[in-house]
Amino acid sequence: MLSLKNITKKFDGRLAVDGISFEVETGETLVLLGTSGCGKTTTLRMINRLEEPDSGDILLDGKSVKDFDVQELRRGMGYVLQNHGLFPHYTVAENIATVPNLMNWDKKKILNEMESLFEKLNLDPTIRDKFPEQLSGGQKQRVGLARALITQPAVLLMDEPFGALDSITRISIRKELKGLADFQEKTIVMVTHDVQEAFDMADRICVMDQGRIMQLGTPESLLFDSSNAFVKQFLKDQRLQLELKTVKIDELKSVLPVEWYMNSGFKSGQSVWEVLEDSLASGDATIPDPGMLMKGFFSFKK
Amino acid sequence: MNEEQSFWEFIHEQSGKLLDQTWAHIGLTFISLILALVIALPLGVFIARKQKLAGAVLGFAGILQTIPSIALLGIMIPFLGIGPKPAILALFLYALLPIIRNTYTGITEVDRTVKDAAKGMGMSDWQILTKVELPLAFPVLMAGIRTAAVINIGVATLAAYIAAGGLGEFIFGGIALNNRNMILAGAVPAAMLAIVFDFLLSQLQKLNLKKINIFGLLLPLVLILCCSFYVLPTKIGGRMLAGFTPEFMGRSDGFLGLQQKYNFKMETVVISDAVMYKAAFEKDLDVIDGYSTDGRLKAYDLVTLIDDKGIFPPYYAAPLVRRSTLVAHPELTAVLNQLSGTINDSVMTSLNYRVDNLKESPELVAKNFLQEKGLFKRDRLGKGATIRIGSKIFGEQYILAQMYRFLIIGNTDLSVETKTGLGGTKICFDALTNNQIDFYPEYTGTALLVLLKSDAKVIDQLKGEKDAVYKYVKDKMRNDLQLEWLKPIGFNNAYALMMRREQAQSLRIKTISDLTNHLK
Ligand SMILES: Nc1ncnc2c1ncn2[C@@H]1O[C@H](COP(=O)(O)OP(=O)(O)OP(=O)(O)O)[C@@H](O)[C@H]1O
Ligand SMILES: [Mg+2]
Repeated sequence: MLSLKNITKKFDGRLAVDGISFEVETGETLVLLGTSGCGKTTTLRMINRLEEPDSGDILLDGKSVKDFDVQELRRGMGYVLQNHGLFPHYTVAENIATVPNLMNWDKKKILNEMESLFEKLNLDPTIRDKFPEQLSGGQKQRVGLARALITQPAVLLMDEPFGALDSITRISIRKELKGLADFQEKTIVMVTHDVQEAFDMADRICVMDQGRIMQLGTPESLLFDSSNAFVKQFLKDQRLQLELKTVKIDELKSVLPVEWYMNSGFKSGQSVWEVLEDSLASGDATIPDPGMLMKGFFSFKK
Repeated sequence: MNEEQSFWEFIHEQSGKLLDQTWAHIGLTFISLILALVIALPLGVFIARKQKLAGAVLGFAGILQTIPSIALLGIMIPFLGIGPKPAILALFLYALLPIIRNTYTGITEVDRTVKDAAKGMGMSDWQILTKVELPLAFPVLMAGIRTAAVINIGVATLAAYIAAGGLGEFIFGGIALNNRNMILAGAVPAAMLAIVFDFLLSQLQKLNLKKINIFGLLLPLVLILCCSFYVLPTKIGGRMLAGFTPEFMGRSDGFLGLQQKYNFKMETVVISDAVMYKAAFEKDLDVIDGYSTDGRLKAYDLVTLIDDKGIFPPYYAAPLVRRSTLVAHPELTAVLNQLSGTINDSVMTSLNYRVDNLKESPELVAKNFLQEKGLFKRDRLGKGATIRIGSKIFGEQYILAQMYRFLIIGNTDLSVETKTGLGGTKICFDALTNNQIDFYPEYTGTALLVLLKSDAKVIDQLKGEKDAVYKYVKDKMRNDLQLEWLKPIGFNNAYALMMRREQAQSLRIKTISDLTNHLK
């Protein structure tokens, strides 16, 4: 478990992070969401001590990060950088093997892990001996992820891991990642300024503005249970889509006609959005009737 | 075609020397380069870490770079004497800036994100430096090393000025002797060294980054091997050391004559005339060559050794005058001959000393001397024709020109124009034959060897007899060139070997034969 206790950080006399506290449970994914410059990266970098807080403390499983050997601490946390941060003079394989090499793993183990990672992250094995400049943006991001994941760290820090990608690639990588078992077990702190991404990935979301936490909670609570004006404003443009994605079809049971509920081929656990998507994709928009679904959704909201 | 052939002949003939000089050159360059690397690389890394100091360090190294190389060598001599030490130090200082600057730039230009990533992966400072920063800065760093190497190969030619050897020996010898083949024999290999090493280092720069570790180990080894070729005679265990100018080394009436006639076998280094006397005075050298009337003889308390086998041709000074001038102004001959017999070697040495070392004006020194001898007369302010007196570009000639001026304006109604500082022998002589001057003081030996380019047979026949030489050049120039030699002034400004007075006395060395006997 990771907990930040009243962290502040100043740069040149200006507060970049202003009294932030939160806890991330083991296995939980917390997303730091906010506009550019609100202090997300700084908060993240204090966790692996790339920045030292001016006040407050950060505890990892109850022990202050200050009491760890700083290099051990960093090697124990996967770190994905905002602009991938791959070493330009290392090949893909060497980049991925950076931390295992620092930890003196034997060659065979590194190779095995790398092979399975290539598979899990859908990486083309022919790029192994290429240099980062020879890769596409998406490949770089994946390699950056592989580098952070290879030692299977319990904690993963990701700073806009999909930042440089077009929205289609972004969504597909997101889906792949969410599906990985490795991923689900980890304690993850992820930074993004993309609202959709936050809602896609997060167990809980921490909305930040000017170094402070505006609201911290599950996606549902941010949508349906927010009194914060900033958060409301922040989510406004994408509210409908977010809500459709957040509400599960099972929750509409009480407001949808029973025969609709029986005849449509949805799976339990799907969001309303996903059901809509499926029905549009099938080309037969009448089964299940999307109009009925939307009606149900709005009466559920009331 | 002929020229080319004789160039290859020269190379062939001098291949031993050439090889020695080349190794010395490589040695000088690379010892200093390695020393510079050892200091500059960590310094560059240090200022990349402590950016506040970068300006000061780079500024200081930059200032070192702007000191002219000759001046830098000169500055070193009082502390380090002559020889490889000051040369290496000077080269080392020149190599600092490119290496420090490029190390610094190379490291600071490494992408911040990449450094951050290295840190975030849990690399130690040392690992970040060696695994990330230096490999990424390597091309820039190598460019700095290349620059330093090329600069050093160039500047190392100047090492010949301070007895540190290298290809400068041929280059400066060739310039002094106006010997094109000799100049090229030094300059071409120096240029080739620069090109070859630049190329080799550029190959190193391009190497696959992963192979660098192996080469990183090999490189210093190879370089150190290069340095071990650098062997130079130095004064060890009381052995005596001679230092001769590049010109002397190349002349048949210089070092070659010493070897042939005296079987001279002393350890010898090549050194510039500008620092040679001082080096002898400071006991860095024991025997030097020089001109017998040089004022520095007196300044540094040196004595000349008697040339008992007569290898140095007599260089009696006398006015060399256009015949047409003497015909037009017959009174000149007697007036100019007034100086004859008044100045012997030691008198001329003292006069030169006053001008060269005490910085008195040649005019004043000339006037004082004439007054002393009772030859000075008030200017008659004559309105007659103008006599143009030339002189070469050194103190002794200035003094003589002034003496002649005073004699002419005091004894005749002619007026005088002095054209002093006409550069070397050739320029003066051309001015004379082209009727741009009427006369200038010339030396018989120079006339015999340089102006008349007499062949070895003639020179041998004359056997270094001062009167025979005088008669020969006089007759020859009168018949062939319509030039007249007036009476010799008396002193003999010839090559001579010199030693410190007290050492010569304590070893009872008076002649060159005494010296060679002592060395046995
Ligand atoms: N090393 C630094 N020196 C000075 N100021 C800094 C430094 N790092 C961050 N800041 C400042 O702190 C504030 C927060 O920066 P931070 O990088 O945490 O923002 P962010 O939320 O990650 O923004 P973005 O979405 O653009 O990445 C900014 O105003 C930034 O200018
Ligand atoms: Mg950021």
